[in-house]
Amino acid sequence: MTELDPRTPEGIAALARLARLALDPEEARAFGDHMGRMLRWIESLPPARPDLGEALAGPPRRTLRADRVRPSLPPEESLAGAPERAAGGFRVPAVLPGE
Amino acid sequence: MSDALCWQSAGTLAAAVRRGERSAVEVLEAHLDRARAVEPRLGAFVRLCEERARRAAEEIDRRVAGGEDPGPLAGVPLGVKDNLCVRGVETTAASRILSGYLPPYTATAVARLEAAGAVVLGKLNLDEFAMGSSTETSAYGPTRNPWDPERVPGGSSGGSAASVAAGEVPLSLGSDTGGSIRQPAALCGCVGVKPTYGLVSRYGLIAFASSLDQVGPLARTCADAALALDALVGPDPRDATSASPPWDPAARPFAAAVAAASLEGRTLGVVPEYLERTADPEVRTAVEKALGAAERAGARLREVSLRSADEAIPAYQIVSTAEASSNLARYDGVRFGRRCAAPKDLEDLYARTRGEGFGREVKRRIVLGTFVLSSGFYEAYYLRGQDARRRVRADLLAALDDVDALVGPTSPVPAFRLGERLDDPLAMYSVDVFSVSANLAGLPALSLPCGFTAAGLPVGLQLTGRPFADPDLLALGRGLEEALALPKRRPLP
Repeated sequence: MTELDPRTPEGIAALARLARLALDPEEARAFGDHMGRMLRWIESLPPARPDLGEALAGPPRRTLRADRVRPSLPPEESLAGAPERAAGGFRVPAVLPGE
Repeated sequence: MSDALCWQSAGTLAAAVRRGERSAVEVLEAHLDRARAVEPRLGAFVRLCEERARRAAEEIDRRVAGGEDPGPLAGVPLGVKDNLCVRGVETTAASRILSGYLPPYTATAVARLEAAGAVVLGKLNLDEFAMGSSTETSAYGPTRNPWDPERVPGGSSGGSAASVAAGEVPLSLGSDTGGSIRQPAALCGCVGVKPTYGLVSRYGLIAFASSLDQVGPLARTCADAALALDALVGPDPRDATSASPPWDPAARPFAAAVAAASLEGRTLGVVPEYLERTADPEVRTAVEKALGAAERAGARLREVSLRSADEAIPAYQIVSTAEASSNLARYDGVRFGRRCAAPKDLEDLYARTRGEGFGREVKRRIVLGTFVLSSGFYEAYYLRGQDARRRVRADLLAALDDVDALVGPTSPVPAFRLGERLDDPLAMYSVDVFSVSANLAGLPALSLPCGFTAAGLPVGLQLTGRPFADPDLLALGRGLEEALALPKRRPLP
């Protein structure tokens, strides 16, 4: 398999990077063992049929509400739970170097 | 006397409060006393909302004194699973990553029960983000089974089931993604209902797997669950997946169905694949006795085969982890919840916040979900799971063609010992073998007590019905309660 094979430590590390998830070495080792067993279980299912449009529709489509402007959460309430805030927004570390 | 109040039904309590024979404050204080007495042995609640509850109960009493009717749940103490938001009350989904989070809104399900007069007593423990079958993955530590504190209460709504079974509240709310209401209800000896997908609003429910998640009630009887469902169901413009049932929710269809309950002439489908996979002989015996009682009460039993029975858990693992990996991407330390200390840059902030904030089971599922959705594996894994989901749904609907409901064990085993399955995720997932299919298919299902093992552990019976046949499913449940006539037992004296 490729570099994303979850049965290998490298694969677990690559998937964790994709998921923006720091794992400690013990977790990564345990997950590798578990993933091997999980994938064997999953691979017991027959391969998917080629035309999966209907299945991918998932639950029946519901009627969406009208697209109208309506009252919403005030900015101060939206920001109330933020770990850090500044200038009416959510504060994060610099995204670009030198900012 | 006050302890006796804790074993009365929600319906009895509400009727007494509405007539002014009991005050809502008196009912609340009795349940708070009971909670204080048993919580050190149980750990069902992650927090009690005493002051908020007292204010609500006093308001109910003022309304009764003023000649108003506060509603069909007047003064009924309610426990709320801690993945349902209550405005201004810390809501964490039992995760460190949401420690200290105060929601700015209340879940529709909670708001509807409060509008019907219920009084929120507190927030209940769960497996972190509802991912588990034992309530052991909670960041707060485990909840214990009221019938044997060395055993798990099931999960993920373990606090919701344990609190009801132990007499702390007559009614609670849980959520069910793969059995998380029904399996703990079975292991704790109470009634738990997973409604048809879309029947109860998910607004304000912290999402795990959005195409599977449903909110539902837990109670000690089908009549009390019906009382709650009459208040809960109905479309909600704030949940695009909420549905309009083919009956009028305002006509109190659940109470009417339960009041007219009878098994006479009803047909129950018995699934041989489920009985064969029931690992514990005492569970199988209790279920078979219940089937006999149903027959004696006038029900017909018909064998119906589910060929897709072995596909349900792998399909569930694919679909639920894929959706979880997407839903949990929002916990990034930016807008709410926990943030790691002194991040080097944005990537470091995301990865360390999530690494420190999520527990092991949640991380495991995020990694698997990321894999099944990743480029190159999507067709081989995610689509394979979706195809199996389609087969499970078609199989269940076909099985329900000629019967009123499918009947069988809710769980293949009674409550297991704390720690027994915690290090073996596949063994933990396998206890959901009979419950995940209803979620994959979007069907209503409930669990009700059908007996006890020799060691005194409850056994649950599951009923699964056609889409939107929820009131009839409650009526069948009530009919089975009458047919079984189980002796009243109370845990944790």
